[in-house]
Amino acid sequence: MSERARSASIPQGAGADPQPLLEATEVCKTYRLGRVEVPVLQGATLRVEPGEWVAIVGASGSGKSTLLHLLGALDRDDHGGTRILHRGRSLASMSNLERNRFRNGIVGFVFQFYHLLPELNVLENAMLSPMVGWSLRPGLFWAGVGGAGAALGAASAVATSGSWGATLAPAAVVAATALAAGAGASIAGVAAAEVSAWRARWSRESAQTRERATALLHRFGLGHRLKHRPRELSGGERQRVAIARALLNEPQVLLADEPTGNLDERTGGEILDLIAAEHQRGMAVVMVTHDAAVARRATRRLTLRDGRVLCPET
Amino acid sequence: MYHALLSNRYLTTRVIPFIAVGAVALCVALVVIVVSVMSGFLDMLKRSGRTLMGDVVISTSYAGIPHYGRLIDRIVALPEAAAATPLVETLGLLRLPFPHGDRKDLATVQVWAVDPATFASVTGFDETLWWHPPEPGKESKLSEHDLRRQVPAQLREDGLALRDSRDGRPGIVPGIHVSRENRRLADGSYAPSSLEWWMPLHAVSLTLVPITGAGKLAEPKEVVFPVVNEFQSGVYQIDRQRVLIPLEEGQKILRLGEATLTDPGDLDDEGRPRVIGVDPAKVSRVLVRAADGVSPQALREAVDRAYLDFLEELWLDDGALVKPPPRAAVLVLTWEQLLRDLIGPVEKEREMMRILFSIVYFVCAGLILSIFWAIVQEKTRDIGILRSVGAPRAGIIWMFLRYGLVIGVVGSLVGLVLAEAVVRNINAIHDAIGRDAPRWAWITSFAAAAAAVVAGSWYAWRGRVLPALLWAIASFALAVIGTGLLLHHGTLIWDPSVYYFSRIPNEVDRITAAITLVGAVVFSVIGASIPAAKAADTDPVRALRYE
Repeated sequence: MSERARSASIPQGAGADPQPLLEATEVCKTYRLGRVEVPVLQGATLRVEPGEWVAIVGASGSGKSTLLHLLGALDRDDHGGTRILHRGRSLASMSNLERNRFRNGIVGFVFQFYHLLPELNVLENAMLSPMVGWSLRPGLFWAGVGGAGAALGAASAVATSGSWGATLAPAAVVAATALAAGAGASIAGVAAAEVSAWRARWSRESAQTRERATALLHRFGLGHRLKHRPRELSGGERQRVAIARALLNEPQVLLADEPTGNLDERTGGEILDLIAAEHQRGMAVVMVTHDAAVARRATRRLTLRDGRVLCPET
Repeated sequence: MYHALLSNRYLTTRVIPFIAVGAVALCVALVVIVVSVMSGFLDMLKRSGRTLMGDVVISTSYAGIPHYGRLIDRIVALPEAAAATPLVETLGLLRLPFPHGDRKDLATVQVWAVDPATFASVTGFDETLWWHPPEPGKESKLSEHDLRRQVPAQLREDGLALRDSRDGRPGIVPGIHVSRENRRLADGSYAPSSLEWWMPLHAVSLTLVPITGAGKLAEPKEVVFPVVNEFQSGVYQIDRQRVLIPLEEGQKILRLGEATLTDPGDLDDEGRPRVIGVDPAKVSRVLVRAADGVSPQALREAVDRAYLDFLEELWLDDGALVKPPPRAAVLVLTWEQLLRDLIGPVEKEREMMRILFSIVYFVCAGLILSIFWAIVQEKTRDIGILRSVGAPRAGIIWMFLRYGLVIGVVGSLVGLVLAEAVVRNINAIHDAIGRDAPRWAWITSFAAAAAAVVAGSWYAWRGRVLPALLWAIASFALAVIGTGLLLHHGTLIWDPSVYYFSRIPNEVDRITAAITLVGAVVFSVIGASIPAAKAADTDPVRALRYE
């Protein structure tokens, strides 16, 4: 795991006895279908330690995917996320920015239907997480540019209104100043966003990420597919790209939702081998599946039934 | 970075954004072309008004202004004035050289008797004289068939002096459209229907009706003038109705020239009224041109004061037996005030057009909104994916706003280029519409329609419905265009007798262009903002469950 992922701004557990990586306690989740309330999770409890591979099995509709989404801060439970902890800190206590960083750097999602962006090629899809990550950094510099633009707009409005002051009502001067400040800030903000995108595109970090993504895709046997679009790939290849995308930010935990559910047995086996290899490197994996054979690859298996985790087994 | 990458990909991998850019461009071009032509019309109206009559006009009734030379001396001495010229205006009947049935053609004309030397310094008269050879180095601006390449250079001098240099007779300069035999050609030049009817080869007779001191009509007088040139001001009504003759001739015919002054109540030994002095020559108008940097309004006020001083001087002068009309009987107006009846409605019409065409902004916004709504619906899963890797709501919003911004900016710029191209070439386009469609155009159209039928049939045979339908529509459209071209025999859209000017204004209104550009961009972004907000509100879990 990289230094960057470890030092993400999410607080780490303290003391000799480290907190579990992820912990869900008595989590409930109810969906509303029209006037009908459908309880999916009714007190599911789960603890994921660093470096372990947990498989959650259960029938369709048992709430496996929902639990995974809650663990990955993609959704909130009925208690607003207070019962899901990352290294002892509740997801509910995180700000929006922290939750976005959590999804971007701490967890990595892999879905049954791959979920690649069709407009991007293989390399760009793999680089999506780092690209999103760059936009999540504190933008003090660009905030300053926006502020300067607003100040400049306001100053010019005040200067201009000086000559019209005799004919304009004070309210009109204030409105014009506010409008000019807003326009100045907007233009500065747009310019900042564009410059920022170009800087990121041509930065050394971008080049290094590109190299890492290329190396990872080569390792996954996709070196000859870098410029291909997802529609030109087989199911197994698509899932490998999705895993590369999830891994490129070197997350602490991979959240895999039926990663082999759409693949034949041999291809599914290859995908599980890739996940196993990453697990060997120290990454925790939480995988939901309805296939017992797939679940057997995990170090710990849990069964979800009636919205509860029933049978912890190792 | 992902915003720029994805929004650029969404823009370039679909047809819809190009359609949106095209629609925004057409909306912008529509507004800019219409308002530019109207603004150009207004500017031409104002420019021509100034060219034709200077900045300020002093006018009075048929009685005229006596001692006008002293008034002009006072006005020319003003720092606000650059030049002033006297003129007499009346109506007359002009008998033209060519036949109209059994008789010669007649035209009712507005006669301006002017002092040629000062008239050109106040108005743009010298620039409006039509028949003269091109200046050295400017020959290429005239077409090969332009008659002006062949006319003698002396015509210009004769026109400026309003005198025939061959025999010294006073001449007449009619507007270019006074003669119905003059035709405007596609290149903007004029030519008589036959060289025989070229006006400077002929003399015309002008009939004027003098008015007596008692305000009654006197015996009409007919005078023959050789045509020494023709003028083209660009204002059809002026070019159609006005003729210029020398001031002395006009004064003489209209009995406004210098004469002996008699006292009807004091008879001499022979029973005739006794001569008591001189009745000075009079004019009905004095045109004044402003000095550089002086507004017509400032000049009007200065001229007004000068007239009052002139009045005072003359009323105190016992030697001046004929006094000028009092201030109340004299109008001192700027050219804008004189043309107020014409300029006012056009200005209002332009503003109405601006407001009405502002609806186009809402079209832009609605267009972008509907397109983006469809795109957001289609991209719901992408939004879920982006949220799953940590993209914030603000990032999703910016991605779609940027999309709208690019469509607005690119569409507006394309629209401005289109408007510039159309407005600059509007006269050429108009002239092309005015001619028969060339044979190659409709043959090409029908050939392309036939090719489209073949292509459509091929796709239909292969069972591809969409391309077959598109080719069928294309073949139908091409066949309609071909038929239209075949049946087209020239349409005069901008009839100069209706639209005042003989040429369509072809300057882009920069202010309108700038406002339209900003408006289209702002409304495109507003149109994009609603789907963008919807995208940001998309529940990532629900988005990812779509499959």
